[in-house]
Amino acid sequence: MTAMTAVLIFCVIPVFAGGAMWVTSDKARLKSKPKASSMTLSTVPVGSKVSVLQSEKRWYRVRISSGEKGWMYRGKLSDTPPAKETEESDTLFSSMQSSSISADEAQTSRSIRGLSKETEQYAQQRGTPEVYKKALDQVLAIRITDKEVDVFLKEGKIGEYAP
Amino acid sequence: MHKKIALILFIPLAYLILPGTAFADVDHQTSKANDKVPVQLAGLLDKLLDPESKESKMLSGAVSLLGSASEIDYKSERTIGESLALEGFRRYGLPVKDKSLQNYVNLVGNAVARNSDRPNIPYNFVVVESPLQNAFSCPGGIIFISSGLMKTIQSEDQLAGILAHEVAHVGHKHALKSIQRAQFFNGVGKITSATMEGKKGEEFENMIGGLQDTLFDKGLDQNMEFEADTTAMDTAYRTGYDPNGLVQVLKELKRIQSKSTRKGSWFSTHPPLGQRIRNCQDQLGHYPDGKTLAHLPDRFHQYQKRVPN
Repeated sequence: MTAMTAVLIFCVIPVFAGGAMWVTSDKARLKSKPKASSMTLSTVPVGSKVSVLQSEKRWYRVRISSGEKGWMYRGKLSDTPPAKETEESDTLFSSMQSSSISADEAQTSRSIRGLSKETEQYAQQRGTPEVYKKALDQVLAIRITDKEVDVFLKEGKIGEYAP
Repeated sequence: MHKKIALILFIPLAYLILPGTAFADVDHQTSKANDKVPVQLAGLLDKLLDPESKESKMLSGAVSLLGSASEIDYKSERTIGESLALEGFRRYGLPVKDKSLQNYVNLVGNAVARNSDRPNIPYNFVVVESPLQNAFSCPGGIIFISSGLMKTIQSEDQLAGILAHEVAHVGHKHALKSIQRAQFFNGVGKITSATMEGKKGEEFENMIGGLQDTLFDKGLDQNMEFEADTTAMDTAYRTGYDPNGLVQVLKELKRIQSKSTRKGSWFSTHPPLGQRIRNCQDQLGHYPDGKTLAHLPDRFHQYQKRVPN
């Protein structure tokens, strides 16, 4: 609990120029200006280390590993690396914290849809009524694209789209 | 990794080898301890050879626990989650038949999930018809919220807070940790078609039964709930929602607690609301500009109208 609190405190304390931060959100974009509407220079993967050059309101000007410079919304960065990048578990349970899927598997996983064969077996053994299986199929069929999330955030003026 | 396993194995073994002898004793009474070890070790080996002995069962448990913790893959996690979701519909009700509403909740949920501790897996959110005040998450990322709780919530930042709390449980693998000791994992590190048959199949069913007992009735460990609260506030803030949204829902739930059904709801499966509210309020100090972030009550109410009474 204390460790978590410490992490949270560090997350929101302004970072001094020259400090290192890590990309902790999916689809983090490097922008040409501290505005969501500015040009996207590149998309930076989760776990990437960046150097903070300066800050302006809720944006950081950073240099990414390729040397490219640009602006990133603060919510995409943390001054501690994401768990799966540094996890050196010293207890049995914390070993579960680290994600056991690789980046490739993650992409595949993102597209998993429909009940798995094993879940079908479970349903058959349990005599699960068809109506519940159909309900789950419908839930899994809803696909939200990253673009739809961006449009939604923009319409609500949320996060990097806030004025 | 091998070092880690060796260390984890060594510790329980060391305790078995030196029953009743604290490690401090080894430091301070080295010669004495050395005299004892051979006798105790011989006794231990005898006990380990007896499958019914306490020592043998402890070692077997430690080894199977290791396998389950380090080897479970995402697909297996998802199968556990899907099986639990089927039971969720049975227990709480079917999805509200409104594509627009379901889509909206999925948008808010996926927006926060992108900024969560575990952004790289698919998340699916569903509003089910149930008067109970409830939300829960299945391993792998299927998240339920009741129509009752949708009626209690009053703005989008509040919904984001609740969904981020459930996403945090998935990210921290809280439900999976609660079934680490399930018999099913004895010798099994991956769920396949073969492990769903015969005795293993029965053990899988028992494990899902236990998970229902935890998530639908008894609740997870209180510290897991507090951890999910703090992670949720951070996730909501990073997305651009006021992290106070979660606190607002908890306060409203506290207000209506006395006239609400307790069994199978957040009131029975989560720690006392007063304590959660205090913890979250302590956390709010870390978000000095939190109040200036998105609340969006109007957009939320547009969709809330679609939730059946």
